[in-house]
Amino acid sequence: MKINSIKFFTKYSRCLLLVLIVATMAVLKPEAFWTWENLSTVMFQQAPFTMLMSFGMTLAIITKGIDKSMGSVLVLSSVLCASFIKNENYILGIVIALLVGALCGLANGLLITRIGVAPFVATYGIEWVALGVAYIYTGGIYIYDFPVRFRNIAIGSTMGIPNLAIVTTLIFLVLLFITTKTTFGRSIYYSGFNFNAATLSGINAKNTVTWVYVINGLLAAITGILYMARLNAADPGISASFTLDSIAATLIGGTSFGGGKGSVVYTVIGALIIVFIRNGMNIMGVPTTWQQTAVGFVIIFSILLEAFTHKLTSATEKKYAIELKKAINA
Amino acid sequence: MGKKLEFLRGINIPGATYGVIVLLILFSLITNKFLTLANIFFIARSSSILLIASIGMTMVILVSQIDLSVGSVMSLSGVIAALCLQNGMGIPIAILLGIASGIVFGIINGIMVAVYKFDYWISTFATMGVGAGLALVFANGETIPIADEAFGWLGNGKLFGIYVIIYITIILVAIMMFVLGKTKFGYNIYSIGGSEQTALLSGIDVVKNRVYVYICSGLFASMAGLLLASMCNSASPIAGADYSFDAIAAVIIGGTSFDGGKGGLLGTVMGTLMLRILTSGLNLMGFSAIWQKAIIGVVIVAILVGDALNEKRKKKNDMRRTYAYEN
Amino acid sequence: MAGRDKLLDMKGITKRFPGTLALDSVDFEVREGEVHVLLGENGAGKSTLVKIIAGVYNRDEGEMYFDGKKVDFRNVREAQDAGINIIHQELNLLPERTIAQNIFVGREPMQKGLGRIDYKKMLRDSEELLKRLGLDMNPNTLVKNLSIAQQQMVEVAKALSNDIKLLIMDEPTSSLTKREIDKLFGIIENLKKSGISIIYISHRMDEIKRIGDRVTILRDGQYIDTLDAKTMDMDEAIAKMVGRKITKLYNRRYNKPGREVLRTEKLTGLRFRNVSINVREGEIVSLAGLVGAGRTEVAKALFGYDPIEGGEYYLFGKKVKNPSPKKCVRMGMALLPEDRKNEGLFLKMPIRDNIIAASLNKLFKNGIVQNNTATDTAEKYKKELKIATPNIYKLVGELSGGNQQKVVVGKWLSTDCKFFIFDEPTRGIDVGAKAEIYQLLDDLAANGAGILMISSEMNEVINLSDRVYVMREGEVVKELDRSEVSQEAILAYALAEGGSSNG
Repeated sequence: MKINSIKFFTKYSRCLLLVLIVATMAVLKPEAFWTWENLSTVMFQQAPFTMLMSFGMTLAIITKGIDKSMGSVLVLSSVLCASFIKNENYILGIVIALLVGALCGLANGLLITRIGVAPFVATYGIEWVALGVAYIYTGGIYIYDFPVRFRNIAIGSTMGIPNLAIVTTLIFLVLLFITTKTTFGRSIYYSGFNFNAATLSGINAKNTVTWVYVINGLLAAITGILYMARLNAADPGISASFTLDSIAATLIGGTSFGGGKGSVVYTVIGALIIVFIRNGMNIMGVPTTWQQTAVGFVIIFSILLEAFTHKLTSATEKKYAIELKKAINA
Repeated sequence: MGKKLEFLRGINIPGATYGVIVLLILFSLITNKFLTLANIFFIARSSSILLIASIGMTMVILVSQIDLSVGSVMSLSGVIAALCLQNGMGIPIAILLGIASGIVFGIINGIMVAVYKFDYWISTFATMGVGAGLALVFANGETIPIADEAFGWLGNGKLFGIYVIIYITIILVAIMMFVLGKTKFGYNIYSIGGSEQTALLSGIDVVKNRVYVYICSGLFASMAGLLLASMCNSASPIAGADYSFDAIAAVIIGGTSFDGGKGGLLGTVMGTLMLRILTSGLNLMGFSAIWQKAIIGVVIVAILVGDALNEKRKKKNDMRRTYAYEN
Repeated sequence: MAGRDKLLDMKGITKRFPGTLALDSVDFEVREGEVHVLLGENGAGKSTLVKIIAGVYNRDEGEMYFDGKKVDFRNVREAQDAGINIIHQELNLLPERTIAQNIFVGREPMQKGLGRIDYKKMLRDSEELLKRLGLDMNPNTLVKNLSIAQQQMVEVAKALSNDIKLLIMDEPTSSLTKREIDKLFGIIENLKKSGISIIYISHRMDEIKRIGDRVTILRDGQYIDTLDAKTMDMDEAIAKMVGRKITKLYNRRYNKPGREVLRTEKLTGLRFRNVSINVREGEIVSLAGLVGAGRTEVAKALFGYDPIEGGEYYLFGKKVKNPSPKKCVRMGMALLPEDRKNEGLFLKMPIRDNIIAASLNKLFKNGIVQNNTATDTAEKYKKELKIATPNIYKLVGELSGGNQQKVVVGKWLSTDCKFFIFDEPTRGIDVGAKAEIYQLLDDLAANGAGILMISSEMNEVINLSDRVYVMREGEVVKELDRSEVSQEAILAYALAEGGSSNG
């Protein structure tokens, strides 16, 4: 009973928070914030990118890991396929981008599961390698001016709904389906809750986790293609604040760093929260520099929140450990 | 186990030393621009900053933890000092506040990780973010110039022909080597790192010591940040960005193991030198900054992977049952 | 000779852990200058008792007198200050530090000023201690470069480095050669002469006779008897260790064994070697032996979880190459691990998810999870196994030990496997649930499954097994048929005859 009420609180508190933020902004700056132009830009132009990257981060965090490399994989994959896209070799370009993303993800997965490097370190390493390769390939110059047909993926609409929103929703649904309805998706959760028990139950936890990072790589590549379409440029210099934002979105959305608990649904709300916080700060004239700090605080706040709700639910198990600790401590 | 080895006990030669020697030879052979006095000085100076920042990191890794906020603290302390100087507050205050920021971050990290037992990756990642953010905020996103000549002397001045900063580094390293090797605090660090269980059972206050370690990390990070700002005659809010990872790399390449309780400052010195020699050599060979980053990144990852594989192998061997033989 | 005065006197010591009564009103006393052996089976309470003495645990009831005074140690430090030191079976040393640094860890002598450590004094004192123990070791040596025996000596030196009156040694000789044991015993004799008392836990009968003065036997957390070590009759001691218990928990219907389910040929792993056993349909075969004999390691290796370094094995007649847990499950094998909570269950997940965890591929052949099937399966086993819970959505971590084990069983039942390895199936489970588990084992066997059971509870082993393999220090030393199986027989083979009988 207690657990259910906490899950309830988790799910709806985030929605409440989102509503609170939006309401606050609407009251403070109605002319700038509460316009269809602003809201639609935020929701349909900015949110999708954060959301897509955050989905990947969520999957990684569910497996008790983290993926610091998504930003640079985004850059690398878009940069490598840019020339193909410019020459209207769309299929080839997309395939290349996805391949690059998958390879980077595979590298991450193997480093983490077969060699035993900590996820943070492994993805940090790949982050640098990917970024390095991207810079070397482009020589530091960005490629721009893409064909309009291509750009339509990001800036156009189909039947009145922005394409970006459609793509994001589709991907969200696919991920939702995978994580909730497939055995593979279930094994992601099992591996996150208890890697050893999952292995000992016949689940190939190592492969599952590896696949998660591959999926992340693919997500980063897809986001890269969309981003490239939107900005009309493939710029090696913009791995930007994706990592920080996607971690914040995942955590504030309710996914737990402890592994196992979480969902892409939570992350949708979390991403919206982050995006609206940024938008709000932009409108209020808060320099982007403060925004960084604010997002950092969101992460800390989420960690603390989770730690305290966690304390509420696991008091009894600790008793045994506490006695031993007390006995040993001087 | 003769008397000869006993003498060498105090002077444990880290493996990285050979790496340094090899690189020195290699690069001096490849390019004649390498072994010049100017270049040697350059390597020494750029190593200094990294080394000072890595002193604290060495201690953190010795107790099997990590501090990702080092780079951000460096940026922040430089920015704070620059702002103080800009507002005419004088060098002593600038330095004091800069160092204070490092200590504050160290305390926060220590409390989160050691007292509340949060995951150290996440906690220091968060403080890293906050620190970087604050630095950007205080500096308004711009690099703050430092006009104070006296302050600049710390990073750029010479004394008897040798850069001041090198003296500072040597003094700091010497002091900390003493602390780590010959004081109770240092012993406690090695004990906790070697086996937290044993340390607990021996009555060592593990929590308190871990907090102190994080405070040291913040302290040295702030000192490195101040010197960096002095050297550049300006404080950039992202000056320290790469240093967190570089410091971790320097420490691990130098032989201090994540497992804990193994390694030391001498190794970090060698690790730092290796990194900076690599950078200098690649630079002189004509590689662009990006290539350098990529190559060094690959080298670091390769070493980390090698480390991880080694740990796996050792663990497996430890698990083996030893069948006793009749002697 | 052993003094007459009581150094340690414990009365009515009781200690409870969640789910079990570890010590039940135990009396225990140690005289000055004697070597007092603690003897008993796994789970008898020896370890718990000495940990209470050393301050690692707090007792729930009873009184303790040490050196004439009533004491109440709240932690290890207090016990150490009073002069009690314990050397655990797993050594507590820092491998990268020198002998001297290890001996004085946490208590390093200081020089005046600057908080400097007086290393010279540490070296001097260490040398003295080592000399006192008759050891020729350079205190500057790194501990990682020492042999296990030498490391053990360092632990002894460490224990002696403060004013020690009572030394507790838990299985000190398990990794030592004969010569090293002689050395250790020499040291123990010296300690005795200087008036230090020793509590010595061991299973090695000849050692007990050689070094011990008195032997106290515990069984099931209760004090049984104290005998004189030299005049003790081994059979009598074993009899007291096991007691005469007849219980009606067991209702085994022995079946005619069918085809082979498992066969191993000289299987060798990290902690066992040359293991050749087999299990057939309808049989419950037990792996008996002391903790540390290597039984669980065999189980994990068979399941593909730990590496195999030599030999081969066959499941249902098919040779198993490159085993992995996933492969083994597919072949119809199940492992219920000893560490149920950490390796067998997902404590923070509901019962339902736990039950389908191993049968995902079997239940959902096309990879799509059907919630109905999942729920039905979980409900089915909840009913069949009588898991006591209001619904299948409760988190497993909240269930009692017995019910948790039932969930694990449910998990495997839903995979339709035919070969089970049960590792300590009833540990931490109350009597009522035990009976149900035993019934379940019997039913499984009767329905044609083959079961390999690892258990330290003699009664289970005796009353359920068709055959018993006894393991000792990594090797199978004896196979007993049902007719030969008895508590005495098993113990006789499980206990080492003396020193190391290998190699």
